[in-house]
Amino acid sequence: MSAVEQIQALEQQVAQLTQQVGVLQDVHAIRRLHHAYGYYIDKCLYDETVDLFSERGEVRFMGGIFKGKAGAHRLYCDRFRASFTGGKNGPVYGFLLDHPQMQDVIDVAADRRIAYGRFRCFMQAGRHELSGATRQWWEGGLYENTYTKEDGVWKIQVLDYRPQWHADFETGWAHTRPEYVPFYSTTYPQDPVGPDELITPRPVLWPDVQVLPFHYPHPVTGRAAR
Amino acid sequence: MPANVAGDEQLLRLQRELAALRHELGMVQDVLAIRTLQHTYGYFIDKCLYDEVVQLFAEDSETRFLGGIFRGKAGARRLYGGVFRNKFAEGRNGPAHGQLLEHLTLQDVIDVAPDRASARGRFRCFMQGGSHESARDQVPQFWEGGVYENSYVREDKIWKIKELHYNPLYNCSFEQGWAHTEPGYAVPLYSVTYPQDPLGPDLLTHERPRIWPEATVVPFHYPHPVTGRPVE
Repeated sequence: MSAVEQIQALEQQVAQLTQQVGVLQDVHAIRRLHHAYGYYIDKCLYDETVDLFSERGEVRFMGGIFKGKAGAHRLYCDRFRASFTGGKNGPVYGFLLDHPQMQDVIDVAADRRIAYGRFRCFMQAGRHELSGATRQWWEGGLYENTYTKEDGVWKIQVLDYRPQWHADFETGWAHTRPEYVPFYSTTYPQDPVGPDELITPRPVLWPDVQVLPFHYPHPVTGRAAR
Repeated sequence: MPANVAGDEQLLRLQRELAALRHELGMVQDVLAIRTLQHTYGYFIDKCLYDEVVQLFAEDSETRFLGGIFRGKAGARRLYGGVFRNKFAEGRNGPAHGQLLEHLTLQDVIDVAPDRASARGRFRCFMQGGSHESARDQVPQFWEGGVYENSYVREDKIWKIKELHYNPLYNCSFEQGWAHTEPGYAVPLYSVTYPQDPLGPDLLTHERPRIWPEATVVPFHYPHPVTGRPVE
């Protein structure tokens, strides 16, 4: 091999390595982004939450699709902030909303501009008896999210949260009442804090069970999981 | 331009690109090493392996817990090898029959300094603790959630804990849950230092931690990931 050919071979190897290291950096950035989301949501930092989204992002929650940052603002600020903290952007006395985030499966597209991530959330939430109305519940759920890289920064493109089960602390998941949290049936603006569209078919809640489709094929066989 | 000069320039550029790649790959390896370090801390703490915990710390380090600051490995030894070992492990290095102390450790946000000599990491802990009714020493069964904001240091290419700051955010009895945590349920904050308290901290924190039903934000070591602005 001539010196020129050797240099060309090295250049190809450096280009491949640059791509491979870049994908690892992307995975790290997306884990950070979603984990940061979890810490903001814990503490009702809703302005910060909305700023994690792309302008053209969307949130899917309880059978509704909230489009763009305006939709995310309607869900996080106009609905959650108004009802959870009385409008304060931050935690309030006696309100717990812990969202532990875990179990990431992240896949970055070859062009490094779009990525997909599956995560789990295991929640502890409620109101302390000294803060007024007492309530405490567990919740388990999954995310199948999409991320977009804009100007070198990863942002949330689609946040698709699917609660899998809820349970009152006192009675447990063996005694969860049906439709523990109601699904959306009315859209914005008829519902002023409602979604822009409804998801069809509507997802289900425990004790109904459903597999949230996997964005990735089976890791060993390579076949579509379901 | 003669071929050998063009080749020299290409070689120089390749060397620069490789050096940059090595640095960036090193940063990714650092993140993984720090995650492993903190996850290992969690597995050791689960099983009261306190000698092994203390060995995760740098000599020049500190542990912050319940309003106390324990300096260096000597301070860590008082807290882990003293306070915790006596309370949870019947004075032994290892688990005692009927004592549960699970520290689920998750949700890392890790940032490595450009010189790769120091790093910061936020983690969450979700605990299940307390004694079986057949255990010798009785700790009532409880849930606890908390957040770490730690720093790490790389010495002789090995990442170690520089500052371990654990912030319990809520705890409650298994029977009653977090809606009914009685004020004063949590282990009291430190108010006496070493050596007056022979296993106490070297210093007290200036700002006293507040715990549930108070709701506080543990300051973030990182700016907002999209806007780049500091949060709070």
